[in-house]
Amino acid sequence: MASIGEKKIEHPSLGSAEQIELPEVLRSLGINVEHTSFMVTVFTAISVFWAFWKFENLLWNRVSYRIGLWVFSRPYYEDVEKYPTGPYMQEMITTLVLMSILILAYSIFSTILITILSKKGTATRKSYLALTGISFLVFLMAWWAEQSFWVSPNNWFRTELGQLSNEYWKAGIISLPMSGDKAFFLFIVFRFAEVFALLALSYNLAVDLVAYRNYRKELKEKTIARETAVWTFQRILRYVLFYTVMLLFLVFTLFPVIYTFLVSVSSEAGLRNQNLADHPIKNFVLNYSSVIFTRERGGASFQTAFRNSIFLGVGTAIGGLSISLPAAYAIARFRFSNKKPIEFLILATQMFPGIILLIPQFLIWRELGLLSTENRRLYGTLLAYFAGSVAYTVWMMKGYFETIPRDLEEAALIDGSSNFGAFLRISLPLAAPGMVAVGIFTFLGAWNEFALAQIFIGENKPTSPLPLLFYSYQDTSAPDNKPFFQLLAAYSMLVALPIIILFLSLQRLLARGATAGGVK
Amino acid sequence: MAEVKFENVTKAFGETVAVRDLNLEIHDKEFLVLVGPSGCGKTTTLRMLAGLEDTTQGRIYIDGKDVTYLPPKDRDIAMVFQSYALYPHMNVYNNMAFGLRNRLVSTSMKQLRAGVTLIMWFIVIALITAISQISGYIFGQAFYSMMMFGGIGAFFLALGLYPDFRMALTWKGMIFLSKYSQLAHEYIEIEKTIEDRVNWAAEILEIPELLNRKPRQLSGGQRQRVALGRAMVRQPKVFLMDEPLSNLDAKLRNSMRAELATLQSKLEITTVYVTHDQVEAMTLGHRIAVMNKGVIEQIGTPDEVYSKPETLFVAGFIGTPTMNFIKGKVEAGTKGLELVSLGINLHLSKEELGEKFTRLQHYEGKEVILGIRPENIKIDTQIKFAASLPGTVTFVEPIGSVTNLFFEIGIGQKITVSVEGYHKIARGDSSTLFFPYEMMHFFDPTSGKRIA
Ligand SMILES: Nc1ncnc2c1ncn2[C@@H]1O[C@H](COP(=O)(O)OP(=O)(O)OP(=O)(O)O)[C@@H](O)[C@H]1O
Ligand SMILES: [Mg+2]
Repeated sequence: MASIGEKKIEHPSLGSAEQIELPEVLRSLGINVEHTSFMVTVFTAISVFWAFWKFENLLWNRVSYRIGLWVFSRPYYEDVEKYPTGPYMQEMITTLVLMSILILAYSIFSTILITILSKKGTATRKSYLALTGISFLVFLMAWWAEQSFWVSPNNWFRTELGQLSNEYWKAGIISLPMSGDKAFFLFIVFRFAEVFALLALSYNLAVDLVAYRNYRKELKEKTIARETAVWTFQRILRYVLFYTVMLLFLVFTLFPVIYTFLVSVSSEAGLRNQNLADHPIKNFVLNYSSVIFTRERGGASFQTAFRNSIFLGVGTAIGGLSISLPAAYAIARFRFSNKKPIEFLILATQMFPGIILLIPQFLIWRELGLLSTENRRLYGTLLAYFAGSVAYTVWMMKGYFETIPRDLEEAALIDGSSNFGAFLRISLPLAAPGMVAVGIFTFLGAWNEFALAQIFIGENKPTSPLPLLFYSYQDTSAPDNKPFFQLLAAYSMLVALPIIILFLSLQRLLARGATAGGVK
Repeated sequence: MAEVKFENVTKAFGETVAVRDLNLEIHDKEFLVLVGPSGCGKTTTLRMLAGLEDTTQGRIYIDGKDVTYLPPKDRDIAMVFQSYALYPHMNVYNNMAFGLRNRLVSTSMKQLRAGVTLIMWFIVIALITAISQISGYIFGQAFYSMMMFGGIGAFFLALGLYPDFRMALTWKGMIFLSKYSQLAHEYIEIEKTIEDRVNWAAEILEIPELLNRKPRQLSGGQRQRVALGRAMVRQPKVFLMDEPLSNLDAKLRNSMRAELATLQSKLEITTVYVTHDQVEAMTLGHRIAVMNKGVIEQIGTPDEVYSKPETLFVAGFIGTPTMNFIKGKVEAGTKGLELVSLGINLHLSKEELGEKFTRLQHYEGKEVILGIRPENIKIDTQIKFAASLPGTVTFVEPIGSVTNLFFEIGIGQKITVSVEGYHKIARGDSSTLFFPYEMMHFFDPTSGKRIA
């Protein structure tokens, strides 16, 4: 531990000779500090979020907005003509340029700092911490100036620039309508986010640059030609490109989720006024509790629907797996006659779109009397889900069993197990990650399924699963049955929540190399 | 305490015949090494003995009992796989205890244990249900669902993520029950015996500190020891080992080889050891069976196989550098016989060859193959009872303790000679080679069998 301060900083993408030592604080938080990509990812996510927020601020007030299902077509300013887009584009471009200049300045500044601080190409932990701290402060100052310039007069920082922007705001040149509550909420959230992002950014830059410096120094000593430096540059370039692409993906995956969340913490009036996330805390409690606790919406409530969905999902996953596992094992391990046709038959059921089978299935189920009472409809739906999932499950598990070395089962046989014992004690536990993955996907399928449940069960029944609750959040008194978007969004977040929890908690199991170390 | 006997065993995979008409007897406490080139059917033979592969024909006996149609678990054998095949999801202790548990723990005990596990799970789930019911009464329906799903979810998560938790539940139940039930008591006693045995094996193999690790946390050498330990704790009738050392580095292989030999003599368990490495075969085996293309070419002690190879294949396979072969015609000479080959005229003296000479006389006018090991050929120093030939050095290969000299004799015939230590001869030099009569082997070129 004593030598921590003396070690050289190394970066995975640059690869200097020695190991980097990082603050114990992060390690104690359980963050894998050995891998800086974590920080980069966090930074990327947060900065995307942040950038979006900034552009949103500019956009919301002027143009109508359409994202996916949610169409907010009424602009805040009724007379759009009075506020043509031209100046606002200018504003956006100015923001962009300003941000670029800031980041550039920051980079140059950190480079100088690093060069000063890391004498002889060796950055100690102390110097690196100091560097992070200082660069953070610098950025904070820059950011403050920038914020004061653009953000609304409700901002806590009522600097002179802020006053100026206030003037602008009054004159209608800049306007970012925000309630004090929202500003406060956003202030807290984004201050934290930015602090974290900045730390991450500073850290990465510091590590990168110091590693690069070390590398350059080595080059000088060994008087190696320029090629190696070019090569290093290529590595950095590849690194930058990689994260740029990741960032683009994040934009598309993360934004709808964030947007839905923001709608879910808005009030109806706020949405009507294009004022997203007004009184977020109050609305969070209000919307989510009203979704969870309101009962008797045509016999259905979120709770009953939740239970039905759990029943269907877990039933499909467990039932499907318990039928498929022996089948998959048999196909993977044993030789029997007509194996190929049987395999093809199993695959063939997956070749039709499920919706084609819906009407025949409905007729058969009705003839079997599976649709005569509400409970039977629920069980009938389970049966249908279950039948639909078997082929997929068998196929996936077959693939999984094939990856498990046969030696292991043979060792168990020699160790005194029967064939079934070897399956139970060796193959099955080793297939657990596969089972969990397949189980989650079948669960997910049942959890999100809409069409079949709609036809077999129907909406607003005590036996309706969650997707059919979609209809419940309508304002039936309104002429066009307009949905309560904030409730709909809260309901969507709640529906997604178990899945998110499931994935996060089972991530370890899913990622684990099942048979690592079993064979040489 | 067991002999093993193969009786006319044949194994065919469709068209390919992996083992052909195998007859082999392995004595009690013997260390038999099956050696041969890749794909010659060694593993297949071993797997048939283990019961992992059916025989196409023939019978296999262990300890006088016909085991041809018995499943592996009833044969009382233990096997170290070519790939080790450690159970990745169990720690070293459980890997080693697995076989013992299968043998020692009776079905009723297993059933009891499963019952206890179920009951313990039931208790946990009942507790969760009770708590959620109560919270449901107090706080409303939603809390019931939350507690129920959350609790059960957390329970299963804990079971999945921390297997020790699962074990702990069962053990708590068993220990509680053992005060009242003889069966549970016996089960716990057996677990203690298993622990003793595993510890004993771990001591011998010097791996006691690894018992709690998973196989993936072990090095290759350590995995190999665990695989060995897993076989050892069972104290089976026969040990089967399939190239257990092939994946270790040279140094570790040497030390493990010595350890294996001492271990086997200590445990006194009949062992069948498969390898394609002739050094392993020579150093480990009490007897060696040399296999080629599914057929055993020769069985004998390492010395016999080395000094009296029965076939051309065995002669070529055993020994490094490989034996020199000179094909030539046996012709009557002035004194005795002569081996005539391309530019070579090797005198075969009647007095020195003795019995070999009489057998060779039947081949007069026919072709034979003369085999002689590189280390048996002498150069320059005139020795008695040897035929001599001139040769030219084409290449010198010094490898420390010995120097390999490559000679050309006659017209383009290559001969390798191993001499001890460093030798001053250089490329292009010519020298006289002396072939001691005692060390000559003669083979029939058509059948490949030894003549004399
Ligand atoms: N399951 C199988 N199906 C078809 N042919 C097989 C099968 N197993 C082995 N063989 C064939 O049988 C022959 C003997 O194989 P075996 O595995 O016994 O060789 P080996 O002596 O153990 O070789 P190595 O030293 O490479 O392990 C080979 O020609 C192989 O191709
Ligand atoms: Mg083999």
